[in-house]
Amino acid sequence: MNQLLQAVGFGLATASVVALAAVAVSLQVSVTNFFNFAFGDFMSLGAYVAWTASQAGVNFVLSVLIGGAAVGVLGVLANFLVFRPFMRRGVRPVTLLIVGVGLAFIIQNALILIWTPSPRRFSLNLGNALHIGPFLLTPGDLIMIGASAALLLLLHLMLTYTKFGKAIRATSNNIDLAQSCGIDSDRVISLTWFIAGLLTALAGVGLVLQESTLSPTTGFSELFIIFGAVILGGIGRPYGAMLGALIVGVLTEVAGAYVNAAYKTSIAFGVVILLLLFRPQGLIKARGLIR
Amino acid sequence: MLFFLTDLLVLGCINSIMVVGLNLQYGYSGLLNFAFYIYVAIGAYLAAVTTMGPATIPGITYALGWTLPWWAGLIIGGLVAAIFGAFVFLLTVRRLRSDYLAIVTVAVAFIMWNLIDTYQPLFDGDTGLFNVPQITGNASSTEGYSAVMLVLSAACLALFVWTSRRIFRSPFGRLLRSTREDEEVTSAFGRVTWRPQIAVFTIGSFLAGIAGGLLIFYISAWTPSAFLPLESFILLAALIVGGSGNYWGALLGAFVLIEALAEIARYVPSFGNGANVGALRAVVIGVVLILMLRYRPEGIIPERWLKWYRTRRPAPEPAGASALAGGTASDAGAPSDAGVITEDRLPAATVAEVAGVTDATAPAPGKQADAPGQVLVDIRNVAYSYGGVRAVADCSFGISRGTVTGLIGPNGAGKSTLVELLSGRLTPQSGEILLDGRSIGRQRPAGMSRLGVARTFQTARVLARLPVIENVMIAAPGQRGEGPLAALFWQRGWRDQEAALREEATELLGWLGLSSHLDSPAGSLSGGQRRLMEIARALMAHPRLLLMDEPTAGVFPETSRLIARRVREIAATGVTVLLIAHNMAFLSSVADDVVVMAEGRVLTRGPLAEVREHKDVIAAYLGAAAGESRVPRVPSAGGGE
Repeated sequence: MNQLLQAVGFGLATASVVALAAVAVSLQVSVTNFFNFAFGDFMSLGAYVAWTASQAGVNFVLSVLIGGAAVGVLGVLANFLVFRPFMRRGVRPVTLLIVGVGLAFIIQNALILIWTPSPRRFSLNLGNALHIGPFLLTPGDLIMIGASAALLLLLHLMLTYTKFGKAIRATSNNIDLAQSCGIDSDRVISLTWFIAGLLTALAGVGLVLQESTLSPTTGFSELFIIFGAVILGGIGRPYGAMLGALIVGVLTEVAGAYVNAAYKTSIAFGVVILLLLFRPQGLIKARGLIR
Repeated sequence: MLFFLTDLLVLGCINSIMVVGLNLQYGYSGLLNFAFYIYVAIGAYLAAVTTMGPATIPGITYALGWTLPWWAGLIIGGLVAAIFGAFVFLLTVRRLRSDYLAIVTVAVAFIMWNLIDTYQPLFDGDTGLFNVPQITGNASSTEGYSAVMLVLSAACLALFVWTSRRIFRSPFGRLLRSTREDEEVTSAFGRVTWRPQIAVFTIGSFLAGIAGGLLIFYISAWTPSAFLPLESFILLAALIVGGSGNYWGALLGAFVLIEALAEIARYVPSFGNGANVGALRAVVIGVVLILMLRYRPEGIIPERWLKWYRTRRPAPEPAGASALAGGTASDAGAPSDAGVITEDRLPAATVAEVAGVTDATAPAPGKQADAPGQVLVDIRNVAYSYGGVRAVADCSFGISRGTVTGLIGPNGAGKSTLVELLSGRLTPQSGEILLDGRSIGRQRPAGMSRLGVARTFQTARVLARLPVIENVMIAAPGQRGEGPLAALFWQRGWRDQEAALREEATELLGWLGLSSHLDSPAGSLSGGQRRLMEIARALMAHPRLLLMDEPTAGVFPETSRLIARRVREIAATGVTVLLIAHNMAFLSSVADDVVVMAEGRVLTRGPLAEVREHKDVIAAYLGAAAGESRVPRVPSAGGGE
């Protein structure tokens, strides 16, 4: 029982990272309606930029923000230079998937060219793990959980109350109608890519801090965990993605504790696939919209 | 030097087999498998452990060790990869939206990779397998062995190119292409779309397994680091750059993108880190792929470049149709030689079919002697709601055989919903529909098609990348050679049928004035031409009941008049037609009878002239008050759209 609860605690820490990335993916899918396979490498890039900045002596928080901003800008550029021309032409969704994979490999190998393939150490030493109730969590985990929750709350407030948030929701609901109501959907989509890039980079840093190492494939190998969370939560529903992340995160760690840590990701994938067979629409019924 | 060449060619042939296999999945049928290389790995591992002896060296563990001859290992590898492919397909595609397939294939591949890499007793975990026996029994020199392997892999490649060529030209290949372009249209013409897809997915996986076996016999070692996601991606890039959907593009891509680039990479001086050259190559491939997709999405050799696509014999055009072809071809433009529509007949072949002289597989229209007056379709108290919106409410009417019935009513009257119910795309929530006195129950579109119902769509739907003639041929019922086995091994069974279908489709298209467009991709047709093509496609199915949802919407008046004449002639052969239309001029020239719907119910029915004067109809169109206060004019017969 104790072991289970501890695993759940680790799961919460994992979920807090997955949730950030999954919400980012979900937000982007909701306005552009395709899965961007390059998000995993967006995560790696964010972590590399943050690592480089902090190696150069920049304050940690500031270097994380630099990483976030860099990936946010990359997201906007990727949309402008790569995805938008395809979407304008109205290609099949499958083509966009392939383009995303192409972009993923370009970024991943560019990381190798810039930072070499050898893993880097990137960790914060904030002291020993603490017992909090039944859970055993490091201060880093606690900060990550707190930061993730705060960011998601902020995003929620933005989507619900700001004009821009409403514009995102309108665009995801019906892009043509949104345009004809005077919403500049190009701008909304660009900003969505920026926010998605920013959140993804933060998730990347969180992931790397949890694993203490950083390599060019770090993000890509996490990508399908994130997609799993998004699909479980119902595609294009950021709140569902949070729930999906919680399930996937806890599942991964519990499986790791009971079976074999080497198989934890596989088991999470297996369960996600099985769940999808019985509920193809996701746990919360997807309507392709943010409610 | 010679060894350099044979080595290059062996690897080129093996990679080509992989790309040909991927082409069957993605190019022919649009199934995106992002983890193709996992099937290669399965084939390689199985070929290795079945041909190697039992593990004896301490610290090295692997399963089986059967010491089988190489060919048995090769085939077992292919078969296991094929079975695994079929399993993954069944797991995902039948249940999930098709764009999930790409994601699920990767997830399944990850699980497999994880298992192979971690679980030692299977294939010795991350150390991998070494010293796999050569097919010549470890006796030959490196040069001699690469020559032997060249013969073997080239023979396999030739066999698989032949296979994919045969599939491409067969009814099976056409069915795959059609499913790739539009699943809904394909099932509306009686096909169950997942069956050809699973067949081709399995065949593609088999090719992957064979390629893996050849590769491991050649290089004699295999580790989990040999099948990372990058490998699958390079194969996909090779296919897209070469040109997917045809067999030459796959070969070209494999040699140009994989082999040539690998050779070039050898001459790039290594700079900085040792991994840089490989990384640079991957970046180049990624950039080339995106640029190709952007500026030449069909690849270097586009699918339609295959000479075979062209209809060889110029179609004998009926005198009237050829004059007409000019008119309809430019139907968006000037009103050309308008009045010269001659009274040419429905092509003889089709008339014969429609009149009941059909082969056994067709749904024998008119066998029961379609005497006019007899009821073919009987709609009884049918209702359907979308969520809370009641689109069709307690609707009842019958349609007599061989008549043209118009369905009119204001927007939201439930006309299109009724057509969807008749086509099987929707199922009545209450009430029933009788066809020939028998309830159609809960038939899906494919089932309705087999009962003899064909349709056109509200917005014309074409299989955009296929030539017009294939768009029409696909609809013929009961084709032989639509299964993989018949397609591959029983060409005699479908060769003559293909010629007959081609001829019939050519005649039908000529009759509808599309003779000069037989080989153009259907996506290049204008709106009016698409409508005409849809009629040809529906007739190709030899229907008893033809459903037409707004056949003249957005169509040039001249084409609209042609459609009217053709619909009359179709009805004259005994086919029953139900059409939705808003154009009163068109309706008055085709419809025997008009059913007026409003708010999901039948308001009235009768000849158009009578119906137009009906008080309720005017009220329904113009609102209740309008009946008195304004001039009660339903759009007049001369009006048009």
